[in-house]
Amino acid sequence: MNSKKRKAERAAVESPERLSSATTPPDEASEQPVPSIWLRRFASVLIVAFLAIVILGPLSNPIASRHLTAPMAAYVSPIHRALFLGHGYRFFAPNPGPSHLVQYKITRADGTQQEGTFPDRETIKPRLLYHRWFMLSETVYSEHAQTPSPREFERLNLSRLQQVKALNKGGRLVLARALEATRQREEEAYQRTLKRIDVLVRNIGQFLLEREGGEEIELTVVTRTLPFPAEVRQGADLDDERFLQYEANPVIGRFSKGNFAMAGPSSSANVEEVQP
Amino acid sequence: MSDAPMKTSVEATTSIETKTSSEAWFSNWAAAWNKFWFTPTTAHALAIIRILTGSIAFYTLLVWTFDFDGFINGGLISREYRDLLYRTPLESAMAWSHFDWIGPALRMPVHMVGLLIVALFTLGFCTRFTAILTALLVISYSNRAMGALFGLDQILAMLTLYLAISRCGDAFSIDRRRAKRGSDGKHSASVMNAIATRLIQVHLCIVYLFAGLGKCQGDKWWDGEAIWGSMANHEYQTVDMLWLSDHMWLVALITLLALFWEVGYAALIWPRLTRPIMLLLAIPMHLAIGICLGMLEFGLIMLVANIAFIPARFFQRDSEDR
Repeated sequence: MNSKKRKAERAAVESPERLSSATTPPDEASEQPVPSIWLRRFASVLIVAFLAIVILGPLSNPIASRHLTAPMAAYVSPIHRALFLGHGYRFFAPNPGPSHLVQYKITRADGTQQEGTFPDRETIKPRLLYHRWFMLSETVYSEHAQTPSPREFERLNLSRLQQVKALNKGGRLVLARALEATRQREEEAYQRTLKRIDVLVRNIGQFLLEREGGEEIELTVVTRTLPFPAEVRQGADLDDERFLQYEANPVIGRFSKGNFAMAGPSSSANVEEVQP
Repeated sequence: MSDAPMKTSVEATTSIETKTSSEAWFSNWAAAWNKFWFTPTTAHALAIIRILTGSIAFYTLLVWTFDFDGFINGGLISREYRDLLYRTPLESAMAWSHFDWIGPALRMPVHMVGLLIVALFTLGFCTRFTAILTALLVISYSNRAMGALFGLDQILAMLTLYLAISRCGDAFSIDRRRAKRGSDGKHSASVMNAIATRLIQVHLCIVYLFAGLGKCQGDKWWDGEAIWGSMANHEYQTVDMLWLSDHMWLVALITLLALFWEVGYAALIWPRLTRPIMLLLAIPMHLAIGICLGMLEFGLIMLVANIAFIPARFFQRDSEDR
């Protein structure tokens, strides 16, 4: 019985026509010929390669192994970008956290002020558009708040330099070289991140200033913490002020119309940074 | 003396048996692989996925119109910002968007043409062509609006990409109606439909597996309060579920169920016994995300992706004339 079954399976692999009749349910009867064995082999290689590229996304984002998945992901990253793959798929992970808002204060030429927040469910509709603004405020927060300040980074950088010196002194040259390379990479990445935050905040500042009309704009980030069940049981509302948490230095940008060329292809007004 | 030839004979027999069993193992594997990827399938399930994905893609692209200057015209997210997201110029160039190649004045008319293409794809008109263009459009808009994206865009891109390689216009489409006039009206099965369906299935398993594994790192998913964290988030909340604060045991139950469902999906969606259970559980989970957390499009697109696990013949009954 077993050998008969084996023979039938082998025949199915070798003969595409038999494969079709053996595996296709009657209601899916094929009118299209099954590809030749060489075409199937070629397609199989493509499928395996493609799935490897797909799975490298979540294997390298947000965390990657520097010995395996990081270099592999770097190699296929142009394909990830071109096909919009390479995502981490960590929805609501590791924990659903608090949300982050961007508040802005616009000063007009006559001295009047206008305050606003995004995302704002009252003014931004439909809901999907609101969610886009929400994601933008989350991006601003993650770019800004999760990046150390230049002073903090400098402290970290100096401590790394001292470590490198100590390793060199102790004769551990290989380790010293590796640490120095890491330090340089991190410094480069940090400068790039700073520039990126700067461009993003300027873009947003300019856009709001143009849309709302005004002379100056100040942008701040706010965290809305999650209430505990006990607080809700006692009648707390989710939009209660007490859940808003401001950082020590919440201002992320302060700009005014002037001669400062803003980033962005659609820029028509010039905006000047008042305070760096 | 007499043991030696016997030993050789035993060794030879074992070697033949091993060879035979390893050959059989490989041929079984090859047969299963061929059956999995290359069994021709009709387009019915993919056509349903096309209509639903196309509708959601159309709405998603339409919504960009309301803040076109900000998100698509580069007011909020500039090319400079997007270039700084990537490590190499090649990577940056590959994160393409067709809006980068045209001037601001032409962008709105091109956006309208894009909407028309997605509408035609949804209706199944010139589907082989409009499917490819729709996938390119979804990718292009996503690359353009980096920083304002979420899961919806990732799953939309995934589905449209696989629909583009399929013959999803062979059923429930204008193409089908036009083709029927000159044929016997029977639906043809295609290997490309099988490959597209399998890619959606495997990719979806990867999505759920990593979504689940990511949650395993969070203490809130283990102490059973993660769902509370989502429901009590003011920015997400669309339906008031705060009454759950009186029933935290229920919150914990839903949290753990969602965790195990996501982690187990990649394994339990394949067996016939557990597949219906996993698909049925997907409905309340994604609808809850859609309705209670204000991400209806995301909840729906995840459900649409799950349709890939429903056999084509389920949609095929009495549809010969469609």
